[in-house]
Amino acid sequence: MRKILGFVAASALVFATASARADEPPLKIGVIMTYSGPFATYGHQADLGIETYMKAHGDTIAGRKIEIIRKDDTGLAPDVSKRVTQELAVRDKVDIIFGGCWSPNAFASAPVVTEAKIPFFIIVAATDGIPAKSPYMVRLSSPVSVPVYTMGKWASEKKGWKTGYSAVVDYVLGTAGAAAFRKGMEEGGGKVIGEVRIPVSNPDFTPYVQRIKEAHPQVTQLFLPAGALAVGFVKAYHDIGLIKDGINLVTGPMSETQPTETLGDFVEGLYTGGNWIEDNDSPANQEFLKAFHATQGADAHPGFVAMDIWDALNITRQVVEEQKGKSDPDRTMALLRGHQFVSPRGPIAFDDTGEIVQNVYIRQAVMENGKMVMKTVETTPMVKAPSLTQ
Amino acid sequence: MTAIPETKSRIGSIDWFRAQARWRWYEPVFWLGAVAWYFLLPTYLPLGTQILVAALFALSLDLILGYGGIVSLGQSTFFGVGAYTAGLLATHGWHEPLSCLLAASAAAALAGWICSFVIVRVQGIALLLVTLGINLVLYEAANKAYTITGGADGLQGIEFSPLLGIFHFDIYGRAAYIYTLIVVFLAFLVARRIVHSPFGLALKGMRENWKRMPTLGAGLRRHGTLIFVLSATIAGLSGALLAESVQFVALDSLGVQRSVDVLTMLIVGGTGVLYGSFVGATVYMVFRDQLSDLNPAYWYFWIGLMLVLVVLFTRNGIVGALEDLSAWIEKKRRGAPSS
Amino acid sequence: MFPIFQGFVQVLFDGVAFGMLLFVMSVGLAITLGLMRFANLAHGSFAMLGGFTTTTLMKHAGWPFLATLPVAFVIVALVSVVLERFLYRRMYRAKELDQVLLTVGIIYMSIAGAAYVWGPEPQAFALPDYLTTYQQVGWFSFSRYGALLLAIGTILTLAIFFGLERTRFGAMIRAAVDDRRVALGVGINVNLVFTITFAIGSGLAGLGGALGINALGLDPSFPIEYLVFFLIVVSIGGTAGSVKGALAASLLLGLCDEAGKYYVPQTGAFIIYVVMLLVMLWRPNGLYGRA
Repeated sequence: MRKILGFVAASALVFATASARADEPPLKIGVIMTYSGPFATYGHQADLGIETYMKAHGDTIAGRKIEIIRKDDTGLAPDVSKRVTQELAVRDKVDIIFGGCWSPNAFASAPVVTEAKIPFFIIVAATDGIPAKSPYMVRLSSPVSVPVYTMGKWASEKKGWKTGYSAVVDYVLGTAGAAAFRKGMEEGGGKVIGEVRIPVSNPDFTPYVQRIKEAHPQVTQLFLPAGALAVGFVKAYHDIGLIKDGINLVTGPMSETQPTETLGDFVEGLYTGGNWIEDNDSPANQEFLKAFHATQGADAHPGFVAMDIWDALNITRQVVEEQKGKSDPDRTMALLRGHQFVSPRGPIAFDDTGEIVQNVYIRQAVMENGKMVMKTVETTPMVKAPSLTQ
Repeated sequence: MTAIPETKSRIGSIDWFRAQARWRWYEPVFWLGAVAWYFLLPTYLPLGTQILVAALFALSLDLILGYGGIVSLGQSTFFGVGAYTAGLLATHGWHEPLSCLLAASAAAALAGWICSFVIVRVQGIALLLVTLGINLVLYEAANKAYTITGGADGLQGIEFSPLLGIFHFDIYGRAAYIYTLIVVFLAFLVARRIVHSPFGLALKGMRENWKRMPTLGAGLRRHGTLIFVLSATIAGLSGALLAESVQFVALDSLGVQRSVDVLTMLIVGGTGVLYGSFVGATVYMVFRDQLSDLNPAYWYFWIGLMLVLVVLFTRNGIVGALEDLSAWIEKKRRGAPSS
Repeated sequence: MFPIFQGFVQVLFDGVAFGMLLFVMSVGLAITLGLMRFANLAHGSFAMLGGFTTTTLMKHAGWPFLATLPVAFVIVALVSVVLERFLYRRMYRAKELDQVLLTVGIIYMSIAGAAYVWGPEPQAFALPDYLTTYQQVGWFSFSRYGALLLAIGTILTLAIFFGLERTRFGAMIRAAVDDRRVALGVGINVNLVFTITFAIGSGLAGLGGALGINALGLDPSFPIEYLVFFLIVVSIGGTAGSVKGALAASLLLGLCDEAGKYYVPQTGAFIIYVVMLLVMLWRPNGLYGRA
């Protein structure tokens, strides 16, 4: 009898210690995205990114189970955003937050993560200067100025197009885009001769391209939100014959869900500048794509949100593993600022304000063997965000 | 509504007003509950603060809609004016929260006064569209004037000094909650007083029968303007409160979405019954918050369904349904023969 | 001198074309308002449904664009009949506010439904090639798509006016609008008239939604995004629901919008709202309204 009891007790002890060892506290990651309303696609993309990461790397980091806590910021709503950040900090006591779906939302969250000391990865917001608002913020999405500035400089310096025209969206982001382009053009020895502002809910572009035709610059900068708006403009630009007339068009990434070359013949000749060539053949990118297609199907196209989340999780894994499973906020931030990381887009790093430093790739849509392909014409390495004093 | 008692002296009507203004049993219960929230739900204070702000905003709409019969699809015009005024004062060096509240309310009152010239001249669908139009124009103006307002990026750099020099706005939202609760309660008292006054009665008359009121001697335009300005003031106050507790202001304060949301809250809660705004705001925000955790994408479906059901099946939102229910119970209790 | 004239003609053409698109989409709302005194803010949901019908047929069944248009009309008309019969009919006597709220609720549900079925992203759509090109006639070049809008808009406008003025059914509609009780008394089946008219109006919205994808885009938030446009057309055109008024308002808006963007691009969307406010202040019941 005693032997059996002893055996049972010993087994119980073994099991107890075994489960205690596996009982590392979970790694709680708060995800603040827009999950409802017209822009629910952002939240959806973020979920795809999480799914993709877990497919490739499982659901633990350094022995700690990843616990994702989702919060809906309901859209551009700094009040809701600040509140859910507070809730993640005091109620859920998360270790890390991925968020910043909109610039105002990110700005509003900054003081909270500073006071609560929670590392915050900005996933979508693009306004320059956000990471500087908190020592605990870093950005994975691209600030507005970077690709635009790079293209402006390349256009005037390398291609010799000295006169430029800006067609930007009519709100504050568009102004930043125009300013960055101007800075780039001027640094390359050119200048911007005119500008049109296009309202966000604008249905028809004909009057705008008409004006550009009359001004006859050597290069036009297009800065519109990705999606139907940008596509519509390029169509109008092409239809009115501007590309034929030799007025080159440069723009940022065209569409989140559809690669540029599949949009139609009207994109021929267009130059796009971005931080990620979706189908590039680097090992990091191939790994990402493989995992993405495994979960979403071979035809699915990952958007930048999914890629940013993938990066966020991978980087989190690296810094937590470096800390042997701990996630001390100050140590984490020091590690983030001190290393270069490998992303599907190429090498990335964070400057001392937390702003991302990454490559900018400039490509052109050309017809090859009857098909439209994007050819890389220039790779500008590790571009730091230019300071735009207005 | 109880009939005015027949009496030969003036005192009778004063008694009637007093009876209307007496505190019902559920009122202290509600406010004590709001105080209890602070102690019972310490990690839900930011939510509580935003519910209170939304309730005050809905109350401002109730004043013109439920009591005055003025249907507005653009109430966030004044909310936004209040929020941006408070925010701009802060970014330009004025950090004292209480005085910012007053300044913001005054600015909203002024905006309300200016708009009232147009508002009291139109009715029906035209009124709806004018209020919406003003809202949209102001939104676009704020968007364009981004050198002042920060545009789509929002107004950055807002900071308020601690309340009364001691209580600073922390991440638990403690100071913000108490501050908001006190301000909302005071504003509520003001609204309550007005609604139960002869002026409030005239408003109800205005709502019920616009055409007949002048024959009874009540100046329509004057009443309409007055209640509209008051409503704008309170809306601006709620906007400023939000600006102070969040310390950030963006275009959504002026957005049509916010106007539609507050209208939804009020309808769901019940119009013309003071507490409808509080009930509606609480139900809407709690519902949204909980649904966000479960399945945020389909929030629109459920709130749409709730709206449709409320409109089709209730006389006046939740409070109206409760009133009908209690009247029905009362009738049963009084011993109506089994029906 | 000539380029200025050229620009002016361009604005005129595009303005009228865009106005026609707006008219096709909004005339249903005007008719419903005038006939049933019902403010159907969910009109945009019908337009959206028409758009999705087209994209679905084109993407999954390979139909050519023009062929999908009549189908969009029919499908949306049928759906609207169901809605009218079971939901809207209860609300004809209700207060304006209740109507607004009911239809806002329906807008919300349609947005969620569309996101569920077709996903939240904007729909990929490409016009057939022969519509994307620009046609040169002398010194004037115009887009074929704009010409299509003009053509369809004109045909529909003529059909609507002819239908209202010259057919028996049109007479029944006009009678029911003028005085519902008397119309009933004369033996007109007002309910049936309402249902059929509503179906036609909504079908037109669906057609407009499908036609307009190229210009306006298509995603689940369409009903809210463009609600303002419809409301403006109706408010300016006449809250009594005059069809002539809706046409005038649509053209006015189309022209102001194009002209504004061309001559004063900084102001953008502003112009439409200011025009609306001015008209409402000058004529609170719209250009063709009656008190």
